[in-house]
Amino acid sequence: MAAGGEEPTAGVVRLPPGRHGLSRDAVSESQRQRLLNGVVDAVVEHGYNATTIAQLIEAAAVSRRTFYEHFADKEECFLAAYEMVVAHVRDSLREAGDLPAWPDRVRAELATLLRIFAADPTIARFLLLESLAAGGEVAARHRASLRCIAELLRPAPPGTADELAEAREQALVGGVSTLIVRRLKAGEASSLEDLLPDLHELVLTSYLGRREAQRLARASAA
Amino acid sequence: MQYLSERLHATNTGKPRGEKEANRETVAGQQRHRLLAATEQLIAERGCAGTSIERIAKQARVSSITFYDHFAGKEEAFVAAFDEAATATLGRLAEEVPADLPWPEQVREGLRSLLATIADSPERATMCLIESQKGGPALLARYEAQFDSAVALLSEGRLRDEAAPGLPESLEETTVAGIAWLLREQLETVGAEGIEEMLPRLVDVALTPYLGSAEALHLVAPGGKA
Repeated sequence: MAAGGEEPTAGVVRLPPGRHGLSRDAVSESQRQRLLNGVVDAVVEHGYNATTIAQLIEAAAVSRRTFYEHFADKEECFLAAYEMVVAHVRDSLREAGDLPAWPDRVRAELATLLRIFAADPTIARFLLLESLAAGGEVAARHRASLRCIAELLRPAPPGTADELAEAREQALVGGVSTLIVRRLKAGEASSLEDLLPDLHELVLTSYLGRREAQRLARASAA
Repeated sequence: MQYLSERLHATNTGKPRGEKEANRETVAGQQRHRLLAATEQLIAERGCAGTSIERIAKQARVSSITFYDHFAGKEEAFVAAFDEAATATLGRLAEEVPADLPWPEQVREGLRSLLATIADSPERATMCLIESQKGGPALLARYEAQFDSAVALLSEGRLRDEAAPGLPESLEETTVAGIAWLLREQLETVGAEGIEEMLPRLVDVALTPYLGSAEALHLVAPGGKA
């Protein structure tokens, strides 16, 4: 979580062994945070399915016993990290999107999304790629959170979308997330933010049609 | 694989040697067909990781040795199954989409044909759209190649459209990815049954950026240009 820099996981350090004057709770929380950070690195390096608990605790620099004090299995640990990443993304988007005009709001939200992913491509791969590779409950959870993100991009308040608009929205967030993954796989993390004008227009287009979207996108970028 | 009794019987009928060769080729062809069908079904059911050569051979009712007559290994069988599925899907597409239709209607008919293919062979669709992405680099490359040709097909819309140069560069890539996303989600959560009802939604996603939603939907409305 290099993005932002103020997250609790940023710059985690291993506590010195022996007496360090920290309470049990503080030690436990530090271990937990290291595990959450470790699972992100481990699954992106090895792929979700191939990741073992051994690799995970190595990345987190904790013992196997400590792992099982916190989580029942890999999936539980993954989901806990996943929730934390999603919450961070959602909060960042909300903060950025606090603007009166919808086209400006969409632009600010997309810029924030791309900035987070460009700043920490590992986080992006964890969120967009490994959560799908995990399948099952994790993948279902990921689809649900993408729907929440789609709602943030919507012009009107939630609850007004019909079946068609909903499908278009899902195709949009699914399509954009695939696009970002393809760029990351091609090693283009550093130029991810160049996608902004395109994505901005794409989102506007899927609600307004092309001509109106072009007009608004250009006005908002100016 | 031949019974000795059949072989001896053949000496009596005095079939020329060439015909026997032909028979052997037919047998090999049938074996290959069964192996590919078994591969497809197992990948859909168990994923690539859960599909072994032993299982494929057993399901296809051939020996593991016969498997190796046809494929060097598991990955080669996966890729061959994917290729056959892609060829069949594209062949059907070419048959069902008249080349003389206006472009937006070609897109609609293409999506209709695709949905019908998925409804007819859900296992094939699961292999191509979902499992192919978890089956290693060779299979993933096949998926990406099909993805890219779908992007190229959709991009033809720009050529027919005077306002198109202003469209976002990654429009088609995002649209194809979005449609694949919707299809995967439907297959994973609901299954292939009734998937043909997605047609208006997919046409809307594919054509709205070019035509606007109203015109896109007109193409799939009852009594519309369909």
